[in-house]
Amino acid sequence: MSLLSLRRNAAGPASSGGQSSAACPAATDFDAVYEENFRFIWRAARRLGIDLADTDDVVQEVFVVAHRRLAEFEGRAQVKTWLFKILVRVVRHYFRTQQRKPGHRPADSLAALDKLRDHGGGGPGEAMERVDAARVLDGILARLDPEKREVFVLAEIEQLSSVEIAAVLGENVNTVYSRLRAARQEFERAVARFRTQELGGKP
Amino acid sequence: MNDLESRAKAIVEAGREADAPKAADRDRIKRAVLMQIVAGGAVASSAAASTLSLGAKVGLAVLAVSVVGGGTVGVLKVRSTRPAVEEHVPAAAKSAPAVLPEAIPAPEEQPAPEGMEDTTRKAEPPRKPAAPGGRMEKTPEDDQLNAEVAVLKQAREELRLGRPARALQALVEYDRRFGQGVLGEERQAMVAIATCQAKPGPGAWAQAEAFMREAPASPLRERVREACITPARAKSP
Repeated sequence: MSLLSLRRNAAGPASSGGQSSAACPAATDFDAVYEENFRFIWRAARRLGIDLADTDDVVQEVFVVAHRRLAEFEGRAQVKTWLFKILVRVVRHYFRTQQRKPGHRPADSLAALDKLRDHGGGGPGEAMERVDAARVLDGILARLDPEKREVFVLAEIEQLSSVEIAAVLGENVNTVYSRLRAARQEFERAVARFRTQELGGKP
Repeated sequence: MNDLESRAKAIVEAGREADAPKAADRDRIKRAVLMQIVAGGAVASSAAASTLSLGAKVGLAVLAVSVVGGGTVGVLKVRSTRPAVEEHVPAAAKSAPAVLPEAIPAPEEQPAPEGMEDTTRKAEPPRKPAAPGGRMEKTPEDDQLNAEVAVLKQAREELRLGRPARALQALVEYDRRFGQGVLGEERQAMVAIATCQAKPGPGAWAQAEAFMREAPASPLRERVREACITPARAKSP
C-alpha cells in the first residue's frame, strides 16, 4: 500500500458524491468523528462497567468498527447515537467474554463502593467531597442489572432521549421508558443504602 | 418518567466528569486504532479510506511502513492496558537510537515524481474550537506527532522509490528535530531498513538485530527481517 493509493482512495467515493458523504458530510471524516466523540465513548464505556485496564481495548474496538462501517453510515441518526450503538454491542461482548474466563469478578466496583464506607468521619456532604465521585457512581451503577444500567447510563449520564436510547438498544420506546423508570428507582435505593451505610446505620 | 431525586442526581452529576480521559489517552488509543486498521488492511481497498482525514491517512501511511514493497504485516492486534503517560515513548525509542551511517553520501537533489508532492501540511483542514464536554482541544503533542509523521512519511516514500540514501537523509532530519520522538520505534525500523538497502553488511545487520531485540512487539519486525536479516542469511555461505 502506498500513500498514492491512499490518495486515490480518498479521491474516490467522497469526491464523486457517494451516498454516505451526501447523507452526512460531517460523518465521513473519521478523524473528526474520533475527535468529537472519543471523550463520550470513553466515559460511557467506564460507566457501563468496563474496568479501567480494559477501557483502551474497548474504546479501540468501537472506533475500529466505526471506521469499518463509516461508509455505510446513512446519517439517519446522530453520529454519537450510532457510536453508542456500537459501544453497547462491544461492551456486551466484553462481558460475555469476561464471564467465560475463570476468576473474573464482574462486579469489582461493588467492592469499591463498600470501601468508600470506610473513609469514616464527617457528614454525608463532606464524605461525598472526599471520595472519588466516579467510584461512588460506578459502585452504585454496579448494583443495577446490565439492562437497567445501559438505559440509566445513556439517559442520565449521556443524556440521550428515550427515542435515541431505543435506537441504540434496538428496543421499543415503551420498553425504554419502563426500564428507565425501574433503573432510576433502583439507583435511588442504592444511593439511599449507600448513605445509610455511610452514616453508620444498617443498609 | 420520574426524574431522579436530588441526592441521586448530585451523585450522577459529580461522577459524570470525574474521571474524564486525558489527551494522552485520546492520542494513545487513536494510534492503536490506526495501527489496527492498517493491520486489518481496511485502508488498502476499502471505500472507508475516504472517511479518513488527511492527518489520519498520513498516520496510516507511516504506520503502514511494513506493507511497503509488498510485505504484509501479518496479524496485528493492538492490545493495550492503560499505562502511564510515558508509554507515548515506545520502548525502542527509549533506548539508544539506531546509529545513522555517516559514510553514505548525501543524495543529489531530485525533483519528486509527479503526483508525489507533499500536500500533507497545506491541506490540513482548520479544526473547530473545543466543545464543552466534547471534542478535546488540539495539543502541542498533536502538532509534534503530525510533524514526526510528515518526516517519516517522506522517508518511507524514498524507500518505496528505491532511494535509501535519501530516506536516511530524512531520518537524519527526524533525529535533528525530534530526537527520540513519539514515533521513535518506527524511525528505528526505517533506519534499519534503509541502511540494509543502502549499504548492506555487518553494520546494517547489527542495526536490524538491535531493532528486533529492542522492539519485540513491533509490527515492523517482519518488514525489518525481510529487508535485512533474510537477505543476509541468503548471502552467508
